[in-house]
Amino acid sequence: MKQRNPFFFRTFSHKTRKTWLFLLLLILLMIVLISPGMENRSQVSLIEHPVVFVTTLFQEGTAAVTGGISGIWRGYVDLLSVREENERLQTEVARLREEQSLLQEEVLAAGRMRELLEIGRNFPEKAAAAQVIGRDPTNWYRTMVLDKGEEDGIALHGAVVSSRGVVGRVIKVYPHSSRVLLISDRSSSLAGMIQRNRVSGILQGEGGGHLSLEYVPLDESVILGDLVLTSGLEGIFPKGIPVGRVTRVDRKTSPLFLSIQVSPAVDPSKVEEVWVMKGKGP
Amino acid sequence: VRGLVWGLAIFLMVAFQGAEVNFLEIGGIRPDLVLIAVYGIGLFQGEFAGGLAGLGLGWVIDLFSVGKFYQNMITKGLIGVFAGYLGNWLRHAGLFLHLWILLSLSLLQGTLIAVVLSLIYDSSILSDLWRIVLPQAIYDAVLGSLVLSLISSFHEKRRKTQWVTGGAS
Repeated sequence: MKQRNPFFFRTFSHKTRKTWLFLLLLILLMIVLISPGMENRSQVSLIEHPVVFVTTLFQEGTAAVTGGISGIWRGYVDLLSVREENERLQTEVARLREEQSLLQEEVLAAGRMRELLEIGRNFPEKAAAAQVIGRDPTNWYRTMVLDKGEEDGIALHGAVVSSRGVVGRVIKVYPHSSRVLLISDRSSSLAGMIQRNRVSGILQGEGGGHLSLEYVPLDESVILGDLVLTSGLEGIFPKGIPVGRVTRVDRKTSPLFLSIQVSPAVDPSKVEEVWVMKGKGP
Repeated sequence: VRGLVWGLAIFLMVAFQGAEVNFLEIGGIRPDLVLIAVYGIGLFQGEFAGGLAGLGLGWVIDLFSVGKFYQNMITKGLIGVFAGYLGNWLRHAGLFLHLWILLSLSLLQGTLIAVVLSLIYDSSILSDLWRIVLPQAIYDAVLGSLVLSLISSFHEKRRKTQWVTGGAS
C-alpha cells in the first residue's frame, strides 16, 4: 500500500521542514504572547517588560547620541547663521549711525544757516556769507581765515558778524580768501555802548579772549551782566550788534575811568559760518 | 626725492599749524611745531641748514599771522643756528636734555615776543608769560623732546646697522 505523502512533506526536505516548523512555532508563540494585549492595550505582558526595558535603554542611548550630535550640528548651523546675522546687523548699525550723524550735522548746519540768514536780513550792506577755514598759526594773535575773498566782493575793513554777534573785521584780502582780526585781539578796537543806559566807550581786545570797555567815566552805572553793543561810531560795524556782556567792573584802578571787562558774545573757536559786510572802514 | 618728501612734510606742518581744527591744541595753546622742526633740522643738519630753515619757516609763519614785526623769522632763524652749534655735541642726546633745551628756547623766544608786544600794545608781560609763554614752552618741550628722541634713536639704530653691514661686507 502506497503511503500517503502530503504536499508539505513532499515538497520540502527534512532539514527545510524543521526550519519551517520552528518558524511556525515562533509565530504561534508570538500570537500567544501578543493576544492578551489585543484585548486591552493598557495591559503589559510579562515578556514585554524586559524587551521594552532593553529597547528603551538602547533607544535612550541612541537618542542621546543622535540628539547630541544633531544638537551640536544644529547649534553650529545656527551659530553660523547668527554670526552672519550679527555681522549684517553690525554693518547696518554702523551705516545707520553714520547716516544719523550726517543728518544731525545737516540739521545743525541748517540751524546755523537759518540764524545767519536771520541776522543777515538786518544788514543790507552784507557782502557774502563765508566759512572759517583757518586760524592764526601762533598763540600771540587772534585771527581767522575765511574762504571768501576779493572775487566774492569782500573788501578791507569789512565787518564780520555771526548769528550771536560781532566776530571781527577783515584786515587782509586775497582773491579767494581773507584774514579777519578778531575783536579779542590786542590790536583790535571798536566803539561800543551799554544797551541798558547807552553809555559809550571803546572796546579794546586784551589778547586773552576778553575785551575791556575803556573810557567809561567813574560816575556811570555799569553792572555785571550788562549787554554791550556796537555803537557804530568807528564806521566799520553797524550799530546795535551784540559784542558781549560785562563780567568785571573795577572802580579803583583809575582815578577817572572804570575798568570794565567784557566777555565776547561769540566764542571764535566755535564759529563756523559768518557774514562779511562791505568794507567801508578807514 | 628725499628733499621733496621733507619739503612736503614741512609744508604740511605749516598748514597744520594754522588749520582751523588742530587736534594738538590744548586749552587754546597750539604747540610751536616750527620751533621743534627748526631745532631738529639745526641739530641734525648743522647751523647753516638750521638757520636757513628757521628764517624760511619763520617767514612763512609770519605771512600767515598778523605780527607787525617778523618775530618768527628772527627768532626761528636764531634758534636754527643755535641748534646747529648744539648738534656738534648733542645729536644723540636723550629725552631730558632735549626737554630742557627746548623749554629754555621756547621760554626765551616767548619772553622776547612778550616784551616787544608789551612795548607796542601796552599789554601786561606777566599776563602773557603766565597765559601764553609758560604753557607753550612746556608743551613745546614735551612734544619736541619726544619726537626728537624718537628721531635720535632711529638715527642711532640706522647708524649701527650700517656699521655692522659695512663690517660684514
